[in-house]
Amino acid sequence: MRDLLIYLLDTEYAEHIRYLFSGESYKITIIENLEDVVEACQQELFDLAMVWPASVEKTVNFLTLMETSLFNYVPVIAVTPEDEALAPYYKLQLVELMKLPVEKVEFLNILDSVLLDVETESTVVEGMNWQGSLEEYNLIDLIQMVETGGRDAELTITENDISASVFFHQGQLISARLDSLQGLDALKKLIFWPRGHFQTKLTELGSSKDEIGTSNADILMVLMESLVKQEQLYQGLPEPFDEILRNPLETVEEMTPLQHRISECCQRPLTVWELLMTLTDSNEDIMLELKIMMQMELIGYRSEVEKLVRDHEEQSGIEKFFSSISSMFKKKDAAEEGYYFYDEMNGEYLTPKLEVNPLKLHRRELEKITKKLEELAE
Amino acid sequence: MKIVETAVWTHNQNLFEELSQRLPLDKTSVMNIDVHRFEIDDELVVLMYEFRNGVKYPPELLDHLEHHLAGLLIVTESKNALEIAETPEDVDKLAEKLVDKPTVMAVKLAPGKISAMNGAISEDGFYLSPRGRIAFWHPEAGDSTLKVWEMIWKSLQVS
Repeated sequence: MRDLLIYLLDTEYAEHIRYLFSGESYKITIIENLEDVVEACQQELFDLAMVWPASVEKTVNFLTLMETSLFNYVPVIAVTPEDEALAPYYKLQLVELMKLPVEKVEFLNILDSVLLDVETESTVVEGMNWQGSLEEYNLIDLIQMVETGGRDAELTITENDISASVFFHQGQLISARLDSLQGLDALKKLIFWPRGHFQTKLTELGSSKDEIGTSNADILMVLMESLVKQEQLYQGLPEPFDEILRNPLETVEEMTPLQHRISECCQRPLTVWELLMTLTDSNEDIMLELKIMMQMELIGYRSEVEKLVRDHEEQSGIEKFFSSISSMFKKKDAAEEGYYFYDEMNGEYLTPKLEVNPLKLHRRELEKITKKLEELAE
Repeated sequence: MKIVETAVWTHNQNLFEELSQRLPLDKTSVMNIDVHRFEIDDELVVLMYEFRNGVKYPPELLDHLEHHLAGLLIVTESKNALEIAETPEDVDKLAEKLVDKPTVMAVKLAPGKISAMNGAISEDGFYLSPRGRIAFWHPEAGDSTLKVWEMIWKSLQVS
């Protein structure tokens, strides 16, 4: 059931509004006085508010009130009369602008579409079963929220195809899972998720073992320390959802085992966040090594690395041409030490060989190819 | 964009045309070698370098390409299949360069012979080695040509 607030500025529209919502699963609260809006918002958690029929001045007043009362997380639609100019509304913080008259079917379609769009940005609270976005409530908030309820609950957090679970017994956090990671190790990874969808549900965990064995306060302290450290280490690295790639033109003789694992992961483009989630090493260690590897130019932004490789391939063709001309004149002294090497067999200086790791196909890519071939078979 | 490069060695040009006639390919030429581009979508492109029997390719070309090529497809027909073993110079040079790369040998058979095969064999071919398979095809034998392409790209899958 969606809760909608309608700020009604003209009672003549009330009957039409009731008709539009008749038979639909919306809970409508109609408020005619601006001063009653705050009280209504304090009593209900609205999914959406509508100013009806809107004027620019009244809409600005409504938005200002919502903002000053800290209810600006409620998305607002302005429903304007037929003769109202729309341009002045474009500057306002509205999720949609509707012009009257509007057919019931069209109206409900727009409403559904808006609610779907804002769903990921708003949190729905019904009893202890919440769902919403990590951008709104982070893990630390959520732990405290579940603790306040004092109930057994499972908190599930998902982003892309990755999912994590945190379990609470009577509000006390007792275990966490993120792929093969458990307990605090999993929580320390989770704390750094910049976005994701969460959902809590009440469940019975009566006989479950407390795998963490420490109070929520201590866990929160550890997580906050870890978050601060991770944020410090992250400075200078690409944004979490920027793609990075191994630079095949740079090689080093020795890499640490973690650097080697990072290098392997980055053979194909992936985001920094995917890298952090793929490896079971601590985020701090990965960030540190990634920073070193980026300074050594072993890893770079995908677009930059791909450009480097393209440029190098073009350049190497030209260099080959000049190298063969130079060999005719035996200009050995002109070679730069450290970049060219001397080929004793042919008596000429050559550029180093380009070492490019051949690309491999991943499951999803193969699925795309298979799908394409199936289309061709039809 | 990800580009997957594979080498295709053919006994003759007709064989490549027959095998690839159902693929929407764009052809270009790099250092006198035909390169066929198969665009899967905006993010994935397959490039096939067509090496032909009897053509002498400069060693520098192979030196350059060997690092890029992810796999090798050898296209032949049953009457010539043995010649590959008897006169191996061209194929051998290429195979030597790509010794650790997945290889599929695609042998053209009469359509009737393919339909008479056990379903599993006509579908997946035979196992030759951890990185090698043999497949059978004919342009008129159902989707056998597309199966060959699927097989070579499937062999490049890592996860």
